[in-house]
Amino acid sequence: MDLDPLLLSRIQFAFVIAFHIIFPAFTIGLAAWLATIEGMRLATGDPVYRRVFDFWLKVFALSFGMGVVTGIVMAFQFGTNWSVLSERTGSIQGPLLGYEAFTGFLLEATFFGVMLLGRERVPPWFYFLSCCMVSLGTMVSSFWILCNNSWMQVPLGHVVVDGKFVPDDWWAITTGPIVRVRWPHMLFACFLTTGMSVAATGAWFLLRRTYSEEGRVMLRWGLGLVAVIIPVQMFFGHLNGLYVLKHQPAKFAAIEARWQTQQPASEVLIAIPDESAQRNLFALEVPRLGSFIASGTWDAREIGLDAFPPEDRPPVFVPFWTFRLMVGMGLVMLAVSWFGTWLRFRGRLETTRWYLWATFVSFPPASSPCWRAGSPPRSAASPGWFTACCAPRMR
Amino acid sequence: VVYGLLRTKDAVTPSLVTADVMFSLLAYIAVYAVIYSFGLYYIYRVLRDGPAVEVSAALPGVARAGAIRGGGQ
Repeated sequence: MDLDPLLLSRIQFAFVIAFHIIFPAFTIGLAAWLATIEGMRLATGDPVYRRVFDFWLKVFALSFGMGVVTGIVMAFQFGTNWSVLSERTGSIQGPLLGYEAFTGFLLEATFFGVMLLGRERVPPWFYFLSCCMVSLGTMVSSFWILCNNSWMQVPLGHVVVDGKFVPDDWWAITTGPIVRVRWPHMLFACFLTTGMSVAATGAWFLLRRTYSEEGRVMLRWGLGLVAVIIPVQMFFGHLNGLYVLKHQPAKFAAIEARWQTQQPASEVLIAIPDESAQRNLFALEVPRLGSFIASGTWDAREIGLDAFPPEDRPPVFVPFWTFRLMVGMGLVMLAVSWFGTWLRFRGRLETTRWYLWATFVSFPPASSPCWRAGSPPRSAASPGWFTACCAPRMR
Repeated sequence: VVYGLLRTKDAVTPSLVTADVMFSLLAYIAVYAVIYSFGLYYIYRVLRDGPAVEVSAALPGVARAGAIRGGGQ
């Protein structure tokens, strides 16, 4: 592969989006977390919630700024690097991105001012309302982005006029079957990222034996939220897998590193896919499990990459491993949060120091790749995003 | 880029030349490195310093000595 504008443009977009998405994912979760904690303060009147709130508000403000700054140049590239895409799909992608700015981002930015500066200036109920509006804004914003990407993943509701994609059915584009499973997957990924970050920060304070009261609130809430959300997220993850299987079978085969069509199909747990030889090295496989995961029966026939002409085969190594990273991180979060819940019921959560360490160190790896896993910006970002986007894009 | 309908290689700007993209890519990397180092440093500082001391110190009966020490800049 030589350094042509195409490859460089891809690298550039992937680079920008990978470093951008970290912050939106974090702030979507943080906005919801702040609204929750402000609601708890209103309901209980406990001042510890106020201190926790003010602390995370500062983090939120910084992350919000980082998200905006790193995101702006992304939009430029539609014009500079991907002008043919913009020209041909502008009637669909343009409005979607415009709606994002007009509905999500404006809501967010307007009430964000109240959150930052209005504590002493507005009544408590309105302050709480502002927190909820900011959170709603972040979610609406992510909805439009997911609409956009879902349309690119599975185009529907359009007609082609003179080589241009023209919207025909906005309902199909905005409420299609794909966005219905991908948007929740992204939202929950954001919540998990923030939940793990909050829990890890709480664990950090407890390990340092400082701010123990606030640390305890963060640890318990963070772990509690993750423990509840992770099974739901896994369910939506499965639904996402089914849509990939149905609409993008070549990508599904790449994620599974299934080179040959098999019946029954085995599940490759770990392997080093060798793309030039079209086979797996050091493969660890479970017979029949692949059929079960994809079709729900133990002897279903699952198509492999050999069913597609070579030029239509996506890369395998990156989707295979980013997908496994995502699932692995999900399992780490499951283990950490559920074990933490068990410790909490035993009354030993704050005193089990090795567990606090585990929570603390599980924050960067478990949270970042995992939301990434769920998250779907446009090109290909971090693991999940790579998984989602690699296949159609990087041919 | 549009699954099954438009390939990525057909979506790229036709007039793009390698040197230009290389330049913008390197510029992006440089700018992002600067933004990231400052941004992450500030977030780290906020996290390290912990919750605000004034609000906490106003609470009676809570030992905040560690908090005040830890919160000092």
